[in-house]
Amino acid sequence: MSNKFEDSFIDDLVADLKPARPLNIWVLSGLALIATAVLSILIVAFFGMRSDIIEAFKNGVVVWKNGGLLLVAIGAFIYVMNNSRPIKVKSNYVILFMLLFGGIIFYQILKLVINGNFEHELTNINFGAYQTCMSIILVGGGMVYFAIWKIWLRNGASTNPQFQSTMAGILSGAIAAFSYAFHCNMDSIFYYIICYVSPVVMLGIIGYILGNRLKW
Amino acid sequence: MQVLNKDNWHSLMMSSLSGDKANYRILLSEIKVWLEAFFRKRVHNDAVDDLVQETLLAIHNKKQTFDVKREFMPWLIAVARHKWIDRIRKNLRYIEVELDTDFVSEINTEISAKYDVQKLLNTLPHKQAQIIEMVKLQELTNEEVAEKLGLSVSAVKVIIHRGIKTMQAKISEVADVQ
Repeated sequence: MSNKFEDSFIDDLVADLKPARPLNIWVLSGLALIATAVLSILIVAFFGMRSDIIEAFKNGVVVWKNGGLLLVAIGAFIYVMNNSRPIKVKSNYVILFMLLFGGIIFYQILKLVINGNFEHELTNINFGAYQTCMSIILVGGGMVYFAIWKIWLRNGASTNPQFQSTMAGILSGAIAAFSYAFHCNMDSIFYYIICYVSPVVMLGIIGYILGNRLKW
Repeated sequence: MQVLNKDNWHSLMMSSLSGDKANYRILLSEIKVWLEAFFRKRVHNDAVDDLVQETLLAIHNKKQTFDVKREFMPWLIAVARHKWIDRIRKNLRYIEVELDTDFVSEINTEISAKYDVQKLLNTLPHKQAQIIEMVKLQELTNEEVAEKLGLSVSAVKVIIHRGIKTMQAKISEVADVQ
């Protein structure tokens, strides 16, 4: 058919050519770091750092609480970074980050069981300012996701765009939750699961739904 | 037969990324020939042109995903493979209709008269119908439609091309019945 049509098609593509800057991994890294820094500064500026931050560092709360979210963020970041081009880079090891995070949660629950506090903790969750916590993670994470979408996702060409967008949602949520955890002193594991993990999962679901629009 | 100089494609792509239109034209023309051969081995002949166009459009829209430090061919093959797999997935859902590409000039006028254009447009996805209506009935230019709908001109052309093919298929179904 249509050599004429296809030649004019090439003419159109050539006419539409604009200089393009190749995807640069530093852009995504910079974006994630800036988002983390900006959100942390804003949260600390508006809500303040948790009053027992030094104590929380010493007794390991910051390590498992913030550190767990950091693990999730790093895992999701690696996946998003490795799957932005048509050539897939194997990222199966990312699951290790998620398993480690699962291990942290399991260990915290196990500790409660061993100490005989499991039932008490489960039935007496102090929800404190859960609305603030969840809405900041959702809104902050949503803004980070929007930036990742604009700057990274829509320029990429992942072979599995929907899953990549899901991981971008998880990355955004984990960044926001990590930042908020510097303020929040609710250290119950069940509060953590409900108010921290579930908004991150929700952002992942939103990413999954929006990822459908990334087909190329 | 066109001789393809694949060794040059990497440098042609590099200069295309910096906006060199002459080299981009050479690159796309050579890639087109290579893609035709690639898809001819994998899909029915009728689907080759569509796949070549879709792949060229993907290369155009996603050229920034080419890693300049790596080889060009694996990237090109990955894009083509993605489009091919996409097509296979679609074919699992829809039975492909044999299309006569030069159908417009050959349509039986009696049949086409019976087939109201608007009815045909209603059978198309909303966006495709809207674009064809704007270009073919309201006589807007491709550029105007692209600007109004926030699409690239080449995307508008591909959408029109596919829509018209679908409409031709509908008319030929009627012709077959009669």
